[in-house]
Amino acid sequence: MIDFSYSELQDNVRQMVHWFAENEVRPIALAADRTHRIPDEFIRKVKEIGLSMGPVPKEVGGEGGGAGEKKDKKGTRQNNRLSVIGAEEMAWGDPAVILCLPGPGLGGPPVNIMGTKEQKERFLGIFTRPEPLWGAYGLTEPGAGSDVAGIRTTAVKDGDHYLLNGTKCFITNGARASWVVVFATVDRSKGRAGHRAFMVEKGTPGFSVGKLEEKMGLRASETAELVLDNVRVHQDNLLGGEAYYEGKEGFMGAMKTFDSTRPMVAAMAVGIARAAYERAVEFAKEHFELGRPIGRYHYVQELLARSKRRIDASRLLVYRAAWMADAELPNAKEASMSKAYAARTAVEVLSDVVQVMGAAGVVHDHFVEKWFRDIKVYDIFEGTGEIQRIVISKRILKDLKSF
Amino acid sequence: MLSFELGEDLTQIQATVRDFAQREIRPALRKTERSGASKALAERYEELGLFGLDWPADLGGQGMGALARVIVEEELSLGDVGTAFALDRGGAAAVFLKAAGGERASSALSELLRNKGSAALAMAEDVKAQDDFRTTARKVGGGWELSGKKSFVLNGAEASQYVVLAQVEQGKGLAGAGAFLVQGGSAGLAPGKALITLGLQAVPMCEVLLERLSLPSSARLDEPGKLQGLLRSFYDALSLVTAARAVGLAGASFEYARAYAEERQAFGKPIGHFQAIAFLLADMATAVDAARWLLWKAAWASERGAATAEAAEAQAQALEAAFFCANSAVQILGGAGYVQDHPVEKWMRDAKTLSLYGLHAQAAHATLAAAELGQELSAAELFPIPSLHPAIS
Repeated sequence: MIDFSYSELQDNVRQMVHWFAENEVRPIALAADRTHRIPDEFIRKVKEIGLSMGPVPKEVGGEGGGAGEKKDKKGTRQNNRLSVIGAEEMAWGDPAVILCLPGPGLGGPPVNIMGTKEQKERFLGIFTRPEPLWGAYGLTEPGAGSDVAGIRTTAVKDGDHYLLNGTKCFITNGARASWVVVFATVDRSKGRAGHRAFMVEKGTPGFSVGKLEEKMGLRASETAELVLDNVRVHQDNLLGGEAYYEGKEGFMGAMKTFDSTRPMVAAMAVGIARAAYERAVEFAKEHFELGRPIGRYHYVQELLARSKRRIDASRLLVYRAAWMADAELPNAKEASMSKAYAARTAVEVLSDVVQVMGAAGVVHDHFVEKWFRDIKVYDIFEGTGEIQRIVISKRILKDLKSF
Repeated sequence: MLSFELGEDLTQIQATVRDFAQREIRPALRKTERSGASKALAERYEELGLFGLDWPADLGGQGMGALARVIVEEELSLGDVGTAFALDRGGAAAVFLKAAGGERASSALSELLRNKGSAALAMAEDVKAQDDFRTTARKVGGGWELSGKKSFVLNGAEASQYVVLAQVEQGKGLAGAGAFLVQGGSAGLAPGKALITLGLQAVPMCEVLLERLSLPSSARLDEPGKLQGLLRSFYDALSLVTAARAVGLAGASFEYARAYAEERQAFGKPIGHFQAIAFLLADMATAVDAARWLLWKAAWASERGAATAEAAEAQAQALEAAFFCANSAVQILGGAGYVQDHPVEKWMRDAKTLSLYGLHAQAAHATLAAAELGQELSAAELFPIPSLHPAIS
């Protein structure tokens, strides 16, 4: 049955994460943006209350949830819905800080979906320890981003090991991560069928950080270039083992992770847009022009109402995609719709909010200036808006294989 | 718990109406645009129990909720939005009567169901903006006497029942206005100039002239001083209907353009295989879904209490989707989209017209903004009557 209300659990998660976002995240966000770092004290608190970026499965001692977890017998799995509800609230606190939270991050879903039992224990089990640890996802290269099939990082079998060579870029938490899921090709001529995912651990000889990026926004978040120079990894680090790649599934497994991560990223865009929108509403109530609050002017009302409804529509697209993931319905199209719509909406909302606030919207000590810088990348990472539209197009137009 | 599954009953209704819309409404759409819904269509509509679907069972309705109503309206409009208007012989007037409640309004509704008549809502006036209606209702003897001219009235020439808004106390705006029930064919009531419209032509529009029209005192539908509250619930309900038709229109435009883009070849491949077209279609599909979820959420919320902001929000979103999709569909079909061999030029005209129906797009935004800003907006800002730009009803 159609139901737009939160369950008690969903509402508790929403309120708890919101409380944390408001009281712990907001106060450090502006300084984190300027100094490009997150206070250790904050990270300690995050671990203490058990917040994690990306779920840690129950089977390795975590809280459970996330992509790849088997549906429970009653079919009432709601991890994806809980994830997007939490992601929106956390991003409402700050869109950069959320990316710095310890946990497997975007590296979690591929391990969960593709990994063997041993690999899950070995790589996800570490997140149940008290100290803050990170995982990372290394797909993008200087020459291959959206076109994943074009990756050039090579993996050459060498006895029980593989030898990895190449460069990965724009890797969130890439420098601090305990391990990075590195995608490489064993045979470029095979395209996607030649792709393999390796768990490359920090400190492996030949594995180094090239540079840390200076960015338009999300400055508190660490974005690293990773260099792989004859990195030897044992075959036990090949995600899923060789057998996984022999089936038809193969590399498409990696793509499946997007079905649950895209709605999550979309949810973050919703959170930021909402945060900015709330500021604009407050501003419109308190700021007077020609003797009345600017919210009394039709033009401002139009901007606010348009923002509001698009934010709400984005959230429903997110919930729908997450609900489908929970119900184990194929949701690639819907996940992309949520990401494409929420990201574009958020960019436009931020632009409108800055406009409503005028000069106050562009000065450094207000959040909206920062959020304006932060939000743009939400239309770029985890699949650009254009990639989302390719995914949708292929599912609404018959026989469309490529452009 | 956040569930997006429709459930068995509503899925069944949806499938039935979709079938009716695709098999019978769509093929007849040009004929319906020219001369209204055919007898066969109207009979099938009644047979399916779609008229009075969301009216209380004791009035002879089906007693279903707002969610069922919006699903039916969307599906009908997936066939053709103009036909959805033409088949709904109660129109905005029936929504008004349902919102008004009370004995007089209720008996008018059951009469509509029984006698197969139709209703019209005479609200707006084509005069210089002001706070009062120019149409007046004077107390005369034990009853009322109405005089004035109403405009932009759908089905204004042939209705069996009219709801007329008129000024009772001068200088008080909506606070001094009242709503009156008038039987079609009453002396002093006459259709005025026919108005040829941009779209939604399946229901003819005209002026309605009132000249010393005598009414019994029981003809007044609202309690004095409570018209604004009544208008609020009327617009809340009408917004859902408008939004549902807009979502249907958007979906029809998307689907038509999608199918065309798969067939039409250029440079050796279907035009849908070019990004400029495919991405536009992807955005159209997304716009339809985004609007539909807001609509369903608003309908769901309205079954649980007042949902003014939700309904206004859904309407504004759906109108945006409707025009975006219809306009894009014409663009994708190119020259073919502009000629009447295809329905998309009609839907584009319909979409523009729809955005001026009921609580038009600006008023919907103002309503939403007022809720968000915690403002007490004046009636003139919230309602498209009597001033601002008048809306179709």
